[in-house]
Amino acid sequence: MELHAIQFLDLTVTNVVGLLVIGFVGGVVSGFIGSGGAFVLTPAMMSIGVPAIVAVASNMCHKFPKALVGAYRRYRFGQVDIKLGLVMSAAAAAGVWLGTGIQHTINVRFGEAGSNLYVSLAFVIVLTIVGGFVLYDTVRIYRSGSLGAVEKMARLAKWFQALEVPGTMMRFETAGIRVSALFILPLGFATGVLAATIAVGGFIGVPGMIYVLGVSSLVASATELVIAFVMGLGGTYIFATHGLVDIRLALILLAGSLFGVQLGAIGTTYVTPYVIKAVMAAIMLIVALSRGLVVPVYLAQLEVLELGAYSRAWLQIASFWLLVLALCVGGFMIIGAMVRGHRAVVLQARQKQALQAK
Amino acid sequence: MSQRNLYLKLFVSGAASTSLYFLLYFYESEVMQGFTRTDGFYPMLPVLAALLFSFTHGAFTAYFWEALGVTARRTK
Repeated sequence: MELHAIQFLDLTVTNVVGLLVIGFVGGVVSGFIGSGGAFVLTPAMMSIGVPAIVAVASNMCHKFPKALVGAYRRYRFGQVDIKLGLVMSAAAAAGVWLGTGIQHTINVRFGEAGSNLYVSLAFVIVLTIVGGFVLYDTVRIYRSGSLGAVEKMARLAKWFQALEVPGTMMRFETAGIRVSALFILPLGFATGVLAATIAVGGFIGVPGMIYVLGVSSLVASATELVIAFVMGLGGTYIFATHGLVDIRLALILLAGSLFGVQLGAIGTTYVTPYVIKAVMAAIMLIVALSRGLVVPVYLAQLEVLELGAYSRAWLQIASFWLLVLALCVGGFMIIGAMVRGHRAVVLQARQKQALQAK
Repeated sequence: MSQRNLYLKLFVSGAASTSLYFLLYFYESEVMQGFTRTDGFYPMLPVLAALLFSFTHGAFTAYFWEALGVTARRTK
């Protein structure tokens, strides 16, 4: 079976500038919540005309070195559980292998529209479920009025940790948990499949580590960067064996996102876990809506649905601007939280100095 | 690190990163031909290029934020 001919993007000045901006904001978000940032980058690339399968492949290529840089920086902040990251990565590698196989098969059988539909539907389903759950959790914390309080472990996580399966129990020091490998491996595998489907495994990996394994959101988002590195490297190679990686896109995104990812990682040291969850929920739900709007367009391209040219154009425009909104909301929330956190630290230091002077 | 050392590193890494991106721009068609080949060692090229650009440009961006005074909070 042969792949449908892939049309790589023509790099105009507008496209390059757009990719640099998208890369920067995506990088800030990625460094902050540790979910690769590709959940805004892949749809954004699709919005400017990149086929879904190339967008996913190029994003995996752009994100694995970025994940390495982010993981190293957050390791220095003491937030990465390397052992947990490596165990999850081993299972994720198998998941990536399956996911890339599915992508390739869909592209061969249904062409670009089929791939676009598959990737968009995956985004809508995953982002709505995960975004909704994170939003519920964020609202719950907000209503309880304990925004800066130490996170409480989810009931589900307590239940999983209490299950003793002889010979499979593993202890993770940095994460501060002891849990059976039987729960970690499926989580890693699903993370890998999703990564090869939408270039973001973090949507399963991070909430999975928080709500199933009982890891704090700060350690989970940092550890996810280790998994993202391994999956991204493996996924890039597999997609490259099908000639699907557009290295120009990957490197232009990298140029912007490396500025962003370091800023985002610095930002995590100034905020409470509650803020990270609020940012995650807001961006996920807006991107889900944005992708959902173009599903009828792809269905029409596959001749499953009838849709006029005018309606298609409007749906695509609305989808694109919703994505821009998601990027702006994410960027402003993170930078705003960082500025407030930094001010509080400076104020604290001044008060301490004043007290010492007395 | 002294301010002079920091600016020197910022300049060197910035020059290296800019050179790599200029090479990508000038040899775009050759790069795309080689990097989409699926035989032999060619699928490794995107992996290696991403790592090379990342380390060079990543060093530059780290010095860039440090030079601007944007650093992490040390105590949690």
